[in-house]
Amino acid sequence: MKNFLVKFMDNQEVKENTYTNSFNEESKGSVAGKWLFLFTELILFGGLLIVYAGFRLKYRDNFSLGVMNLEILFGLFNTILVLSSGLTMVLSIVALKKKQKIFSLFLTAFTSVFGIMYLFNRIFEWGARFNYGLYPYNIAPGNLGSGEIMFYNLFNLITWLYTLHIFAGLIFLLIIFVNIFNDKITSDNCGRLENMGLFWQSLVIVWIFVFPLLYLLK
Amino acid sequence: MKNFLSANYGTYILIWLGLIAITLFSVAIAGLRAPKIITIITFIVAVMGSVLIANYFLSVRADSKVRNVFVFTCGIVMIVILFLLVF
Repeated sequence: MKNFLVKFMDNQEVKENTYTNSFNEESKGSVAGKWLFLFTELILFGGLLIVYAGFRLKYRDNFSLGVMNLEILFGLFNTILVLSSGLTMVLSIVALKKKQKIFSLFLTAFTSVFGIMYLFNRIFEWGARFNYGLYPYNIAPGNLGSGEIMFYNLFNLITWLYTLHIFAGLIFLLIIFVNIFNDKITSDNCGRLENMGLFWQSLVIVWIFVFPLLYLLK
Repeated sequence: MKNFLSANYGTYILIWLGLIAITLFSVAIAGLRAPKIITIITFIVAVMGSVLIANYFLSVRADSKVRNVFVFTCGIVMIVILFLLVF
């Protein structure tokens, strides 16, 4: 078990960038921490999507009706925004690695812009349904059946939680931006930017499954 | 992460274009009247997209093998459960 854990923690990056024992321990902790976080995200959203799919099995017709009532263009636009933010995020890391600080700052800012656009698009989408009483904690909106109520509640839960992650990501991005600007994150010391990238890309992967499940599968 | 994010900008832009293309494809086929085929294709597209992101944007392939196996196994288990429930 000990050997297995050591192997799990082992990482080329750590080996190559290690200068002192303390730094080695810190890097190992950072690497293990970010992967642990990634797994918790996987379990959180994966679990929610499995719950959604389980209820979809029970209320197939109601969920189908719910999906058809959603505006697919909102979902598609959000998907394009999320994928684009994933691209600018990875490019900002590459740019910093190539010592192109200004370009990296520009790309980090663009990632934030895509994230903010996602938030606005989400607000418009929610707003369109608020008029019909379809908002969280309104347990009996209109004349909807239990299946449709379940659909909208799960839809709101997943999208609200996802949006909360994007919002948190935007705050982290602002901190990263300031740190790059002040040379606290550089090409030789960009672990925090890489961790930020890991967080953001995990959100992109989650959205790749959320989008078809909530908007496409009728 | 030995070769972490070592590709050129163009490679990432191509991957992004590919991701946009497969997303548009899955939206286009969603209007068909064949729910089972749509489900299969949509899942294949989602898995393709996530593999592309994991390999290029997340650079999982450059990380340790044991961790890759962990990620791969967890991902596959989740996807199989989801697929079985949805199909």
